[in-house]
Amino acid sequence: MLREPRRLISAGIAIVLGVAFVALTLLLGDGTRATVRAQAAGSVGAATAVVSVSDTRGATPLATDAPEEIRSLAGVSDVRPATSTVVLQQADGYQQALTVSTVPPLTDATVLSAGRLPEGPGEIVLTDRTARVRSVAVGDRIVLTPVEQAGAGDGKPTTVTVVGTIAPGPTSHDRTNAMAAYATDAQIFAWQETPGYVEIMVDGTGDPSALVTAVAALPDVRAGQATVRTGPDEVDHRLEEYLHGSGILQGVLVGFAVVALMVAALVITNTFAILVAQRTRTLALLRCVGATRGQVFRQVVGEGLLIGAVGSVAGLVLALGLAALAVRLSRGSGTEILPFTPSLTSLVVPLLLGVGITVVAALHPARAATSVAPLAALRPISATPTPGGPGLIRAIAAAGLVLLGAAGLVDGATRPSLALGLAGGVVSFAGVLLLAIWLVPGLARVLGMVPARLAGAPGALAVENARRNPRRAATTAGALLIGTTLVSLMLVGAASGSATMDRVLAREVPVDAVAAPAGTLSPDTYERMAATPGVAAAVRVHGADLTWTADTAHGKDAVTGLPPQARDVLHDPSVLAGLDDTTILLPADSGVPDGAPVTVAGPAEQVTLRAVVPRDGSVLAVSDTTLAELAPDAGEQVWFRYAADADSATVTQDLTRTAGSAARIASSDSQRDQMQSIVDTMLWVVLAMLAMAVVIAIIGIGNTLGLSVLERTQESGLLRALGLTRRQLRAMIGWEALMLAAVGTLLGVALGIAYGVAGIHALLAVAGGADITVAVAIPWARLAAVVVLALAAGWLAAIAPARRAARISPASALVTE
Amino acid sequence: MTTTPAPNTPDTRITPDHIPPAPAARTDRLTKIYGTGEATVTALDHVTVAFPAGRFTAIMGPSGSGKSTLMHCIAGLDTATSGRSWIRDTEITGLSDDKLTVLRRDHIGFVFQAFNLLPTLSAADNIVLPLRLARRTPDRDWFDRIVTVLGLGDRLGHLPSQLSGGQQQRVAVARALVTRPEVIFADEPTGALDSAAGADLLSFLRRSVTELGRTVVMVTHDEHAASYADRVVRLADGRIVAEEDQAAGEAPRHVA
Repeated sequence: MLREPRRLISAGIAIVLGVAFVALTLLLGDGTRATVRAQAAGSVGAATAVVSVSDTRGATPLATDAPEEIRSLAGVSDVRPATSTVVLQQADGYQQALTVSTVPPLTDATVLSAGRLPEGPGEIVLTDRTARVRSVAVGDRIVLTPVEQAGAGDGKPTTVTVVGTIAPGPTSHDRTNAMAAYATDAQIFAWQETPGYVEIMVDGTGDPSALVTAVAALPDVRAGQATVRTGPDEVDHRLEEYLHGSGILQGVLVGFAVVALMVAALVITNTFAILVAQRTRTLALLRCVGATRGQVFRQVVGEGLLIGAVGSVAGLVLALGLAALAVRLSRGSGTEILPFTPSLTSLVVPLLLGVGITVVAALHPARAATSVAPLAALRPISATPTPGGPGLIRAIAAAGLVLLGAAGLVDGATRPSLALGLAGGVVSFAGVLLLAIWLVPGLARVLGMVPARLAGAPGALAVENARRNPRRAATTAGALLIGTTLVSLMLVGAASGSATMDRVLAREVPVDAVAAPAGTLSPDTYERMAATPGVAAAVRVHGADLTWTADTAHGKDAVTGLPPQARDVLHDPSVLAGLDDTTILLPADSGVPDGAPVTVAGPAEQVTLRAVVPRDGSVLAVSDTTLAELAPDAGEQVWFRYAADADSATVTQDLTRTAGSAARIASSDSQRDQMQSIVDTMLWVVLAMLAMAVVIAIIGIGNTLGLSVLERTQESGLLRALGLTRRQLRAMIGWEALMLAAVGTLLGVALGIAYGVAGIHALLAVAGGADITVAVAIPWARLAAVVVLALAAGWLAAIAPARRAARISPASALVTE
Repeated sequence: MTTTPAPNTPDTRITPDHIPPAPAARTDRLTKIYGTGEATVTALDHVTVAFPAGRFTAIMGPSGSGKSTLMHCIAGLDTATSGRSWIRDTEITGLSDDKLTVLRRDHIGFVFQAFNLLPTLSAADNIVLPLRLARRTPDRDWFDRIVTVLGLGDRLGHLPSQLSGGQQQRVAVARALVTRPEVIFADEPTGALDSAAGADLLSFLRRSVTELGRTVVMVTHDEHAASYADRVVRLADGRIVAEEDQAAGEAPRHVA
């Protein structure tokens, strides 16, 4: 086998790609770890002790005089306090978060790119990246609103001037990908609910742990929810916190890498099976001259070991190269990876996996090789190795797995249980792979009508060739099946997830846009907003936090007072059904039965109303008359409906401009677009990972064809003698590749749709609770693109084998030995 | 086996013995040299020969005499180094690969020693394969007639692996006949058969000439096989050493 290295090339490529994928995943994990450590170390610097307030929401910052208190301790040489808060930036109807922190000290790494540093309230600097992404320039004025504070509603919007931009180095506070800005501490305090510091670096002399104890004992530090650690401890802590999140990500990546390796294993198994079949004679001759079964077995497995080792080393080298490239390319980007030393695990695990999988893949063909009878050396080569017919046990086992798995899937989707659905998916898919030996040739026969019709005799021959060795066809198409199933699953899952999200948003934000005024809205501003082009209707509604009490449940929630005109702006006016001055609309999950009496209390009044609970209702509302009685000082909002033909993004922009600082505009479209872009980004990352599995599978198709062409040399010669032109012969091989690709892809897409639909039910129901109605969306255009791409790739994979086949001279192929 | 009347294709059939029939294939100083430099082997050395239409010619010679090479070159399976050759009036030396392929498909029939059939196709599909490749519809009557003569009627749906060696070769003969080619080339067609099956096959080739009016050129090293032919061309070391008409081939014709 090693004397014919060409035959091993594609098996080798499969191993190289699989191992490179696994290794790269682990290496980038190493890199991230090293980078985060460097950045954590950079931000902590030489500090002896660090006081930090936990990141959890609602944690009280350290009092503003805490730094002075610490400074007065014995052995403290310097104190560097820092604070930070999150504000919402108003732009085009989007509310985008912006983290504003204490201005970092300028160093070699942290430099001012433009303008100057903020000198007082009303001034801010952005990171270069934030300025670029948000399209803000030095001198621009931006409106910032402090985030919603418990019960108090959103804070007052502030207009600030951007006075400069900063390129933060790894030592600055900003170590995440978040949008960041810097302002004076006074400005940040103004935005905080409780003004104070979130982090204090303490430089000191003497024993660090004694300093930590002393700092922790200060009343101001004890009062805040702060933790005091020594410098090195703080670095470790920050690393842990970050990696807790990225560990999950790395787990997912390794999962994809394992899928790629599994596909590679199928391709390798097939290659070895074909190689053994082709070498029947050589192996038989070995047996004739006295080789034992064990020796033949060891020879084949030994070859697997060798090719596995060579391929794995090559894959590792490739991964190291790619990792170095990634380090280089990431320089200066938002997610920079610093140069790092690979861990031993990242080097050893991919090698072991690569060699192990190759050897395991070679075991079955090696056992087949031992069953070659010595007499086979004396018989003429049979054209087709006759594989043992698939057994009854396999059929029963496969069908059982499919049924069991399908039951698990359905149960998982309806119950819903993600674990059950996942297990059902894996089990049923294993069953399908076992069934492939019947499914693939069967489907090839059905699909074969297309080439037979389009390409005549060569097409019909291609179909027969694709089906003639069911085991080989099943493995080849099965490898592609894995990749295309996962790709389709992801596409269907993402599309259904987005559709469900749309539905949820449409329910939660029942109108096109909402204006939340800062204080009281002047009639003039209201008129101007209502007159904005593209706004079809605008209605003022009020809302207040009211206490409601029924026999079965009670609560204190924001209740909307809806005027009858609200039906003009609601997406679904039917939610108003049953609402009048004597009723209260309650959500389906409120626990109150329809028709029950509910006592509602506001600051001014208390009334008893009759509950109206629509079946999938989500609105908590009373009539505006009722609300005015209960809470005369209720806050105001304006609800908008856009004209059907208006471009919602444009209308939202115009509305935002009209409102200025008087009101904040929230549009359901912009919220949806934002979430959509997150879903899309994740989808593309996942698809890129899975593409590797598909590429390996396509290489497998080329591999199978290449070896089949070698095996069918005589047959090709005969066909050429009988009048098949070179072009027809090439087309025949191409069609055979298309058949294999089509069977794998179509089956994969069908399975992917089924798994995607079941998965989204299980996942969303588990994540979102029972009140989510899952919207199933099948992205036909994208799925069609998957099919077209896979077919095109299959055809490309056939080019080299087809050329080789066409070069066969009929005379030399037909010379009888 | 049924005795069928001669086909109504008088142009290729009976020709008066005293007028030599127009050749179905001929060569003019055909030369084939393999290899280069010191490893040069001259397989064919200026061979000039003609194969008359409507006759059964055997090319005989020991191993390495060049008989298979001659057949391959005349049939357009291999290209000659120099010299010329024709199928009927078409000169095939110098034809492009595509034209040569179409010529083989439409005007030449082949029966090889072994591996004649595609394992994935039934006997019937194997027989009509050349027509399918040409996107032509088989002539039902002609097909039935060939199948009847060759006794394959009840074997048409079988795959090659379900047929005996003799039956497989008969399917190959049927396929060679189905396009009504100018000439059928048979390369050691009985080489892999036992003597009874071999004798059967030779009678069928004989009847293809006698009853169906075809031209057959058979390469063989077996004197008994050659005895079924009308004419024997003997080759040694790439040269023709003898050309003899023989009466042996006439006998079966009288039987028919």
